[in-house]
Amino acid sequence: MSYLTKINILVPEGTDELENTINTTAGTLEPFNDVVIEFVDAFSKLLLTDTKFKSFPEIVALGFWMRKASIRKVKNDFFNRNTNKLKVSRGLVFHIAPSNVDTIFIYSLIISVLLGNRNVIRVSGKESVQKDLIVGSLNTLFSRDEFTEIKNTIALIGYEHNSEINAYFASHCDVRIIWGGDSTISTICAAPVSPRAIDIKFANKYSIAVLSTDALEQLSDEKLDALAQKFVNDSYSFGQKACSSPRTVYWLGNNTIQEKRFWQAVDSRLQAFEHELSDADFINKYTYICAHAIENKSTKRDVEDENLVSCIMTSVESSMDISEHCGSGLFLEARIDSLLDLSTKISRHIQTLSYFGIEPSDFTKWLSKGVDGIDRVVPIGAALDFNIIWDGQDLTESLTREITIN
Amino acid sequence: MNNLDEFYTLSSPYGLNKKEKNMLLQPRLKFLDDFHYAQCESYQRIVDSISSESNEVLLPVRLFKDYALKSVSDESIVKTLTSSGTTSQKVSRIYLDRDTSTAQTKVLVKIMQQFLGKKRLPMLIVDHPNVVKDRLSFSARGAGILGLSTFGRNHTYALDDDMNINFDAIVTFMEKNKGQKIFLFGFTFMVWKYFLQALKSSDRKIDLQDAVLIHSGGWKKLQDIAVDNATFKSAAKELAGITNVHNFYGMVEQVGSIFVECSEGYLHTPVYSDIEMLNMQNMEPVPFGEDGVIAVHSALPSSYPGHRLLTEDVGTIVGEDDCKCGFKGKYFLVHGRVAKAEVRGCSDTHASEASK
Repeated sequence: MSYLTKINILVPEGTDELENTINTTAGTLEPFNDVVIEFVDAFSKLLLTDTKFKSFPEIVALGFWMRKASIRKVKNDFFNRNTNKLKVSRGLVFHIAPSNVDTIFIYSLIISVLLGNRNVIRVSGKESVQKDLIVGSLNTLFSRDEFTEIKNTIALIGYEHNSEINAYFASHCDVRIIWGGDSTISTICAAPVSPRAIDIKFANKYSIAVLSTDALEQLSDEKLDALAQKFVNDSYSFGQKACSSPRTVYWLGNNTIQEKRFWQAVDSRLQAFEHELSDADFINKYTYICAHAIENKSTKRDVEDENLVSCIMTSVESSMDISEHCGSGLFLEARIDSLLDLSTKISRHIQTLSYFGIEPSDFTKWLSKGVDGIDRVVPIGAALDFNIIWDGQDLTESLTREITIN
Repeated sequence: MNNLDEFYTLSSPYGLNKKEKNMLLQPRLKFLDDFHYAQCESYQRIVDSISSESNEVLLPVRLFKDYALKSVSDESIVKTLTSSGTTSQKVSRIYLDRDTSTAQTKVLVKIMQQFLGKKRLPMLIVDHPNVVKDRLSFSARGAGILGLSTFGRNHTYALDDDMNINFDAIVTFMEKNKGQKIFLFGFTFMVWKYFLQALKSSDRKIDLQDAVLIHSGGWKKLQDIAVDNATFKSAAKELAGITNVHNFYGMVEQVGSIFVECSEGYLHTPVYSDIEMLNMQNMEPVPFGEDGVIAVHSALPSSYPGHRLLTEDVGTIVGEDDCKCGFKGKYFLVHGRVAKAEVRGCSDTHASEASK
């Protein structure tokens, strides 16, 4: 199969074929095997101690999540939920990472590894310092004898998009995980997985925030600043392009002074934040504001003289139309009297709702009545935290199978 | 206020100093602000959203790709200009009525006469003849050539259909127009690649020392191969003896804004238009000498709200009224398109990667 020669194997280094990873005779490890936990811990130590990673906060966050204490919690949760059940790995998992190396696919990779699966990950050919660093650290770990067993369960590969190679992995894998835009997913899924395999698709999703203006009024300036900092972290860490970063802000209550106070706090927090917004981003935002006004008669809010925060006040009706949203610190805003005002507006595209000043029980009450979208509700500041339940799917369930014995 | 006739009575588009120019241009721009606010609902909505103090607002050029922006009735449209869409399939659509169309022609004449003289010159076009024949795929390049063809006669194409230099045609043209000043026109990249570079690799020489070369279309492709204006000019001199070379900057979205390079190598604002370099973080003009995103203003567009535009180009204003070439007005340099921001996040760009 000549097309397989077009595959460039990045990890493990020095290998020229994937036979050991793909071939089932290599055997499978049981979920949360000690060697695997040691491996993930060693990976974590590398990410947290190597100075090369210091300038990438998302990699440091990944390193924290992979620490032994945190993984032990994932392990305990898994076994507590599956008491008296026999859970085994699924086998070969084929991951398609987003073309911009975002750390998110490493989370699903690590979970898959922890559960004992063998993994082939297609990463993009795009130049990326983060990708090179991750590839380098994995190869460092695999040069150690103690991880020989793991070496056969992780292969990071690169290849130009090629329907034959896509089809090859589709026919060999037991699970295919696709991180990507809607059109990527359609392209990849043109080659179906084998009849007994499953697809896990992480398609384009968008997120929103809801803040109670009455609760904001109760906040001291100091506490408001802390909240604003969390909001900034949620929104600006990936230029607002992460699927969990809020794009629309809903104001519950009608205290417009507090809206203004909140944005001013956000703006002042941004002065010290490495937002990395470029001229192209500002032009995109400006163009979006003009187009939005033409289509919705919306109004730009004047926050400060600088355009780090750009806000568009619009109707609840047009507030959820955020697929074309350009990120970079642009927020649609709308006012609501009750969460119920949003019920019919929330489509399956909405992933995270981050909130401030609202009781979790209010969300339970509201969402139990049936809303099309929303996968997670988190306090402001936790939007980007990874959870093993992602986009409404428990990855530890999807990446294992259960054998019933009677 | 329609004071365009006052502009036309001026003997040169580069004759007014800052104060004189502002007295003529600013009232006209203010008039257009109010006119478009009253006549174009989209413009009105943008002003209502963004600007609290006046009806003045910059329209981003990309809007013309997505919206049909007009300030006159459909019946009065006599011409629709379209842009070449190099980065996306979408093209800008610019709607001209009789007034705006006439003004565009008049101003183009006023500006070009400064460089070509009042007489029509024998014209050598650095392109292939089919570029204006195929009406189905009529390109911005074809439109540009047709537009400037009015300044020439004995139009001859310097390239054949296979994009090779048509030496026979050029020799015949030169003989026929011996001793006369020649108007040489082409798109910057075409002139570089298919004319100057082709001349270099052939062993033939062409003597065009009496020619005025006017070229436009942007430096993007040449920047990629590290060719700047100085390199371009020295190649034109060395390979074809051309010493009179003028680049110009302009965009289909704003009629009247044609910024031609002077003898000192700077682009100049004529009296009909103005230019600013903006700091995009606060949308304020940067001081002369600093880089900013280019905003252009023109007295001409009345059929569509294109009198104040935000481009996606970066430039620097070098000075005003004191260029050594003798022209008044702001003079500046264009550095190219703003750098594209890196895409980050969970949703990805596989699609564009796959479609390459």
